[in-house]
Amino acid sequence: MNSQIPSVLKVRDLKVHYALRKSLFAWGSTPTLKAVQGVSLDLAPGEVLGLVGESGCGKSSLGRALMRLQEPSGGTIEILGKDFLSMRGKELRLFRRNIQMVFQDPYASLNPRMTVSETLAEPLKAHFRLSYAESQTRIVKLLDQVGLSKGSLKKYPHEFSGGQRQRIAIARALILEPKILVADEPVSSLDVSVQAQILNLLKEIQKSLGLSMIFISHNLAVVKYISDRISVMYLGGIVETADRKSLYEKPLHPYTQALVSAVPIADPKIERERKRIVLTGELPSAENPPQGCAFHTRCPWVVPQCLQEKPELLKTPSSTHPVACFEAGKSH
Amino acid sequence: MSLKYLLGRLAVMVPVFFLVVTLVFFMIRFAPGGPFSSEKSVSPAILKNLEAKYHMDEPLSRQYLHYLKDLLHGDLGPSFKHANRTVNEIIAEALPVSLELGLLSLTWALMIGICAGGLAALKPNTSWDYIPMSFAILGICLPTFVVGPVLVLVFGVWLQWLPVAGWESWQDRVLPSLTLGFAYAAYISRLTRGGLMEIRMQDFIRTARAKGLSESDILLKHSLRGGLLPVISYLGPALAGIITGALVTETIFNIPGLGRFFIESAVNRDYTVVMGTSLLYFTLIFVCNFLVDIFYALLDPRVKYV
Repeated sequence: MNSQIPSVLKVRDLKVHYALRKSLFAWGSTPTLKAVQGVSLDLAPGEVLGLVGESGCGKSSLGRALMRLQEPSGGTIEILGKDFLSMRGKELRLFRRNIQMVFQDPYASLNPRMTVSETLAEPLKAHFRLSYAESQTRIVKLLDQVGLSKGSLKKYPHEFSGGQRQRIAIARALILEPKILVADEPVSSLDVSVQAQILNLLKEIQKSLGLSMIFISHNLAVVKYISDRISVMYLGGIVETADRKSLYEKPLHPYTQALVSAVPIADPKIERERKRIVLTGELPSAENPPQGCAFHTRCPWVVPQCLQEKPELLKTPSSTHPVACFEAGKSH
Repeated sequence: MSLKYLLGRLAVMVPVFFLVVTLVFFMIRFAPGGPFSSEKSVSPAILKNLEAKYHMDEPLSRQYLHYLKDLLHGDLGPSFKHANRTVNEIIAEALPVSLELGLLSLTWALMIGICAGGLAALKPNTSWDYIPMSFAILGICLPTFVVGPVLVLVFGVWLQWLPVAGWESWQDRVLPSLTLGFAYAAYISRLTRGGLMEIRMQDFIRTARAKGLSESDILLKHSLRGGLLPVISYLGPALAGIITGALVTETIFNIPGLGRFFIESAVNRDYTVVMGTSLLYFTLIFVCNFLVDIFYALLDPRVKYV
């Protein structure tokens, strides 16, 4: 990434820990679930950063922590050059309009007792002083942008299909004209045929508004389609970050290689001959993560160093992009 | 919600009402004893006169038809025990008292219950939660015949702030309505807490926070509307129950309400009073539930009655 352009979002060593309930007879410290363990990332203006990883790797926690819907336990977040984590009360509430989120489940994330018009007018009321007519004009314009008619205004969420609801959720996130959009699995609860429509809509809107976007998904194909750059997460940490092309063509981390090799190729000849890397074992518990490299329990390349030290996400002389692996780039 | 649905709901009331009339009429008459049996033996001649006066000498089917005819004219008949008084008179006199006591109690119950439950839901697992909820458990467990006398002892006898009994001035209203409302407040606070806690776990509350709404806006506009639904559905039976079921409270504080007639008449086999109070109770429950259903649909657009 060009270092001359200031990033709109700068995250350093972000941690999200959840305190688990202490059992009645347990002595000592409260067990914590370390969902995000020291993530650093930058987002350039107009850039789409994809975050991939399997369920439970902490990608949703990371997304929520970026908006402070889940309070981070450590690290720093800088949005538009301002320290986001030091904000309190009203300042925080009003600043949140710069970073908005599209949630995973459009069935649950919209209040079932509010019409589309009420849902969309509410953030405007909280942030701007607009007349009723002005806010209605903005709402209608935005609805049109996400492909919904004016007739939707007086309807309730349950009167729409899943795809339409996600359009409403996108309109809801965009109405405050944010600089950054966090999309947390925005299509994974939709039918496949509808997924493409919503993805195209997001891409279109992102281009035309010049939004910066963080796109969270477990679906590699979806992330590849929409992202400029992709970060791969494993057990609360980023293991590799690369632009879209190099990540798919030259994955360096053994985990990324396994993920990429699991995507089927739509050519029976290649599909039959290519080598698939199948990971063994389960994702370790985030409550008690392994010492050293988090991936060493499932890694085919594991060396003694991996059990002791945690590899940093670094660009090494032998690698083309940042990767958190001691053995990356060596021949295996 | 269509007018057709509303009319339909009301139309259902007619056969159910008729069923209740029939059931109560025959059940109370088949119960052993009668309005004129007592320890003191009445001479056969007087008994015969009494029975003739109240049409008790006729066959049961005729009595039933007779009662139905009077009922259709809005006449609930004469009381068998309270000489020279009709059931209509008894209800007209006692119902306003019970209504006032009931509504006052319910107002207390709603005010205390929703505040306590809301507080508990806002700060779960803190002393703001534990203290009111412990009181709520106490309130549900303690019967009115314990709460009433304790309140009388403390505020009436020791502190002498409020009168111990009667139904004249406004001061007389305080202790009985608190006594009767206590258990309801406890129940409502638990329902409020549960409802609000459930709503606060929902995804759209997170969305509301992302919109940049203040916590009080989130509570008032997003949480309360859905979170109070359990309380509202409880209000129907609660209102009917609190109006007719205040016997103990009415006895403790010597209040001339309907509750005592309800129980007394059943013990005395005062057939017409039993009928009258039962039908009143039924109508109250039905109407209250009906109102709750309408209110429910107004609060939740997904509920559609067709």
